[in-house]
Amino acid sequence: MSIAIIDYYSCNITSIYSAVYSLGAKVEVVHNPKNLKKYSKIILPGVGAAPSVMKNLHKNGYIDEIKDFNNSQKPILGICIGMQILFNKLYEKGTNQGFGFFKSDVISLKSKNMMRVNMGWKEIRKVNDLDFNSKINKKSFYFCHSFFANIIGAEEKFIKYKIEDMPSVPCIVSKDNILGFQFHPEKSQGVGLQLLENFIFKS
Amino acid sequence: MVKIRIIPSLLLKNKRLVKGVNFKNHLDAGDPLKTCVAHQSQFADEIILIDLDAYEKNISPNYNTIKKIAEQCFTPLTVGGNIDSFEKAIKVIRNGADKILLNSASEDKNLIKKISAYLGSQCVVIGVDIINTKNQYFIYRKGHKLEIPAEDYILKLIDQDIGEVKITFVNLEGKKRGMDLHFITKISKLINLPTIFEGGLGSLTHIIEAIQAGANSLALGSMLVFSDNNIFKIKQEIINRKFKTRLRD
Repeated sequence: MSIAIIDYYSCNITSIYSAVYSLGAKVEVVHNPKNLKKYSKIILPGVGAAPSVMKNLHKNGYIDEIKDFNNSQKPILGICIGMQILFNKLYEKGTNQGFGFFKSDVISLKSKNMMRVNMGWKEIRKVNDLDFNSKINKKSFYFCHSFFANIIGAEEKFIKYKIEDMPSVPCIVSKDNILGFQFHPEKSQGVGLQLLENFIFKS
Repeated sequence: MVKIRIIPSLLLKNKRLVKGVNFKNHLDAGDPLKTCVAHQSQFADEIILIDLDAYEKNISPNYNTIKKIAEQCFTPLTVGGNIDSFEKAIKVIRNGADKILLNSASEDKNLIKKISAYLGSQCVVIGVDIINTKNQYFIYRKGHKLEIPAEDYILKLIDQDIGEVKITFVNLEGKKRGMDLHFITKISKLINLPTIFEGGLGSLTHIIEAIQAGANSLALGSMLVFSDNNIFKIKQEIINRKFKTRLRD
């Protein structure tokens, strides 16, 4: 069992790698998309703007490989921007097409009259059950983002947790083999590592 | 109610942490990694690390120190230190920082734009040093007061593609006499971005006063270094005074 972290050069790669490694997982940062299929799980890390991240994934030939990985039903974890690109359209600095694993779009917090940037620790609240039963309801996680997955209608069932005082912002989403965190588990100290551990060993 | 962020602000010099008064007279303040881990164990909400060597010698920030911290400390990390190019910004993030702090380089609007376009605007923190002379506030840069009114400067700054502002009261820094509450109240009402205040905190009372004045993110230097205060004690006081902050998970 090994985990691939996909590097799109804008991410805080040392942090996510170290967090996963510290939990005892076999983990590698991959630079060749053709190797993806040999891993059992992939992580799409956080930090980056939508256009640069998508451009990088296209340029380095990751798009079809990640779609194939998803078709094989193996677990995928997206963190922050890594979660947002699993959605349909991303309206950050223009319009970019995401992977479309979720049909909802990613829009700015500002467009829904929220603060421009959501920065800091926020409590999360359970909406639907998550496959692995973590004790994370009402725990605080670290957020640093200006855009969010605007999930409405039929896809609301994929929202597992939302931000307590920003109820329109989903912060844990899951659908089949896909899991997404809007917060940074690799920067959320003990409780964040616990969630990563669940993804690594229980999903 | 927003959770108050308590942020240790650490200065790096010759691979050690230092602390001074009014940006001068630096004394040894410990090992960077051990200090970060200690702050993490007390639920520091973030850590700011500023590489003084990078400014003084006009070199890159110490990527190796950033990496060592990020490998063992799973707390949000903002790094500053002569980050005056796109390449330096990317390297700081790749080595494990979550945000970059730009100071003197913040005059370069194209650089800010370029960094935000790649890393996202949430990644860019702009440090603004301000100095109070006869109750007028000016921008302070590279050891000099500039004839730029602080308020005008900040209002123009927040129109740019940035994620956060960090305001330092230069003439209060290290003095432990409290923050400029008047300025906090005034500027907090005008800024629509997360804003960190630093400079002057020396007691629990100063912290509560700053929060009451409108600050919700405080960076602490001397108060955590040469005193018997610690983050746990500070956060307990914040909670006792009916404000919110994160004290456990």
